[in-house]
Amino acid sequence: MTSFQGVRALACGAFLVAAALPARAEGTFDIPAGAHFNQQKLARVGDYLRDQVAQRKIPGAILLIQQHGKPVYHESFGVRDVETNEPITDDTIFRLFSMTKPITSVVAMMLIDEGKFSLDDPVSKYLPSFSNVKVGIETPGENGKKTLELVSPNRPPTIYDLMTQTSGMTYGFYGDNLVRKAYAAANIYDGDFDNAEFAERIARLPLQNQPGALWQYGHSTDILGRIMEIVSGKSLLAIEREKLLDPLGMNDTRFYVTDPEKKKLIAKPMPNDSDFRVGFTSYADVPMKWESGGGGMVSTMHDLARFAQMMLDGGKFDGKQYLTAKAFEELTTDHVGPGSGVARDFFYFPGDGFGFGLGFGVRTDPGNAKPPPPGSLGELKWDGASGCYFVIDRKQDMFFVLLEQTPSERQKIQPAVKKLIYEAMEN
Amino acid sequence: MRLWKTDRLGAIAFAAAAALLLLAAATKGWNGSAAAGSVAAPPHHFTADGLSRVSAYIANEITSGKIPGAILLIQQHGRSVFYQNLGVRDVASELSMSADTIFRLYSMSKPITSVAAMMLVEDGKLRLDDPVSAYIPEFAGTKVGVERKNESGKITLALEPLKRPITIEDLLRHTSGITYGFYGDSLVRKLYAEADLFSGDLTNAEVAERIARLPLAEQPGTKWDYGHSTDVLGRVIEVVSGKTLFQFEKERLLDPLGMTETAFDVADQTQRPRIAEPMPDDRAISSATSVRDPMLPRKAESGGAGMVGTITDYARFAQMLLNGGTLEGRRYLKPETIALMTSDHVGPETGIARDYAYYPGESSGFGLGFAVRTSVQPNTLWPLGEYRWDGVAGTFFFIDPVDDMLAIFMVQTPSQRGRIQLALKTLVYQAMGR
Repeated sequence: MTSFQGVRALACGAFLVAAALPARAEGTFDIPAGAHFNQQKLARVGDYLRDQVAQRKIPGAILLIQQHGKPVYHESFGVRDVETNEPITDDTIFRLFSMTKPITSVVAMMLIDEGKFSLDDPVSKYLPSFSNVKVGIETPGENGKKTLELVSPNRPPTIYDLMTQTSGMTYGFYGDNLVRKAYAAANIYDGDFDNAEFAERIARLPLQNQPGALWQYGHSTDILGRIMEIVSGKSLLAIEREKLLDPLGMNDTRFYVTDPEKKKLIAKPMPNDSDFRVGFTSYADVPMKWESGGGGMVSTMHDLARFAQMMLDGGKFDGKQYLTAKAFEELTTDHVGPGSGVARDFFYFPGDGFGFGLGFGVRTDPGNAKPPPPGSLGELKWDGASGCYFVIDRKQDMFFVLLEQTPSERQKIQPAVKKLIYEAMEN
Repeated sequence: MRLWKTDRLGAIAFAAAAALLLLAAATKGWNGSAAAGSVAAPPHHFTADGLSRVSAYIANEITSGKIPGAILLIQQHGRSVFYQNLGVRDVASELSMSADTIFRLYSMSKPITSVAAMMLVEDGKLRLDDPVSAYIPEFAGTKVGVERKNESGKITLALEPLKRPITIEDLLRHTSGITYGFYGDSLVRKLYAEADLFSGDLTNAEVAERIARLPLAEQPGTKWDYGHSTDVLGRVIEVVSGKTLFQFEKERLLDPLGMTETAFDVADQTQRPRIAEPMPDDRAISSATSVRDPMLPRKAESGGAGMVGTITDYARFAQMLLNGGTLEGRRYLKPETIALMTSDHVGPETGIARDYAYYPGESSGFGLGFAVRTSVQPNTLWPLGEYRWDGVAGTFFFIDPVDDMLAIFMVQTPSQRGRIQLALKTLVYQAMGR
């Protein structure tokens, strides 16, 4: 039984690590700088992913680990589409979903650094519809039924709130409170709308909380994308191409795949695992007007490796500085930690031990779990609904990018892969 | 008598500015920097309750199917105190109203053209008392059409020479005798209607020449008569500046002010979805004319009615006026020019007649491009000195220096515009206790 073998392999792996490194109480958290990879141990990552493919949990995946600017592990598993059995390569196209957000955030920061707009600007400066936005407060009624009371925000939501995911704008596709229900009921995904129209639709909905009061995953980055269009006078793709994608050579990072030849390169999820649970159905090869800065991009390992290396090197790639030191620091410093006034609830997706910068999760502390989850302090990461995932570890001068298309398996696979990668590091 | 010589201009400006100062002293808070401890009435502020009634009124117009959508902006002390876009810009596309939605401004073009003309006056290139014929020679031969009954009782049109030439000031305050052909039924208006000035894709020069060949409805300077005066003024701007009207306005006013969406047409086909449309059964602006398609190019750049633009753009224009001619550190007009433009030029002392088609209304005079409140609107506390204009497709704005505020309403509804403007303006003033 393949599945039994997989479980046993995992159990053995865990046992081996525990036996080999009994002295390190902190496990794989914040390993001293200068660690290198043990290739033998690293092979377990491949075993794990091959096993996921063998069990038909995922059609395939591709993993790149790069340290000191060179690949230390670069392998693909399975196929990009179980119907065609074509292999996964560096130019296989994956839908990123929320992994779009760091890309949008980097370009936004470049525009902010140029003075095109400012973190302190109210959203309504560019999108006047938001000047009338209200906060929806749930109040229990007499019969125990909750009602939604609309109150004015204590302060207007700002660009900073959008980038830290604290604007109060939410997603309608998870949770069950009344604001989320209002999102779900507003049919905000109807028709072939563009970024401008989408911003208008969001402006009509109440905020789930006061600006700056709670980390709240939602459409903030989509609104940011629209503002980038307004301040640049270009479409979101055009400005992202100009600032980042073209110079960095991310030529397959787009919102849609239009070239018929490239359409063949799109990775597909398992046929029974194609609901990405993001509130609407869309396709990489069916272009819409919407260019979602929060979740609309497709990309390849070729492109994302360049993006990750640029971030690993402090905003620089091939001699070109994309982000100034100040901009890089803003992006990668935790802005929602103690003293920030930003609360965290059940849906705090950065997770245990992580704060949040301007578009990236930032490791700030060991976290509550014992032993702490693997990774280094200062680590940058984000992922998306399809399971695409990157971790940028500046302490170890290392990043890895995992690309896959599996809404249902990702929450198991991502931490497993990360754990195996960090377990393969030795000083 | 030579009216409107430069010294007279200065005197009027001084008087207007003094009047404004007196008003300000009487009410305080008109520029947002009123000293504390003032004994005068407190400044008028908007209440949240009042604004929610404004909002509810617009929402009801939409839900009851009168209009597809609308945008209201109120700015006070230079800052937005209310902005709301409600409904859709086109019931066919169902796209939301938004700050960059494009509206046909129609007669709200006139204040823009008037400001452009006054920039040339400030430049010393144009004088208010210049005869129009100095720039458009065809007007030297223009006659006044006088209706006479002949022996058989038939009304015929006799052409009489002008008692004095039409001046630039006549064009700005609608006392040239040049009229519109789409209302009223006098013989002159019929000739205007038949002349079909904007058919045949004429240039501004050709339109002005056609108008010059038509008889005036009355002697210059004798009656306020809404008409093509501002179109002729647009042509004068072209002659004086050596540029097309749009080129001149773009260079001197629109681009520096950041009014990048304000133009005479929408050339880029991809922008079609941004254009606000009236309800499908509400497109007639007169018995013979429907709202135009701004995407159909035409040579004429009608300074009287040809512009399209966004609320964001018009807000910058209006705020510049309210600021006394500056916005964000750049000066467009001198404060005394604004004071001149917003003081009454058709008051009783001028002897200028008003009839049933005196659109500024009983409590207002008319300046150089704006109606100006000269007496208290019955049953209201609306302040004097408020100036404004509107457009036939439903847009309107008003600027109230006493309260240091302005309001702009953008909608496309030829049939509902009068009713909505009065009701909405009443609610806006009530929302600040007036």
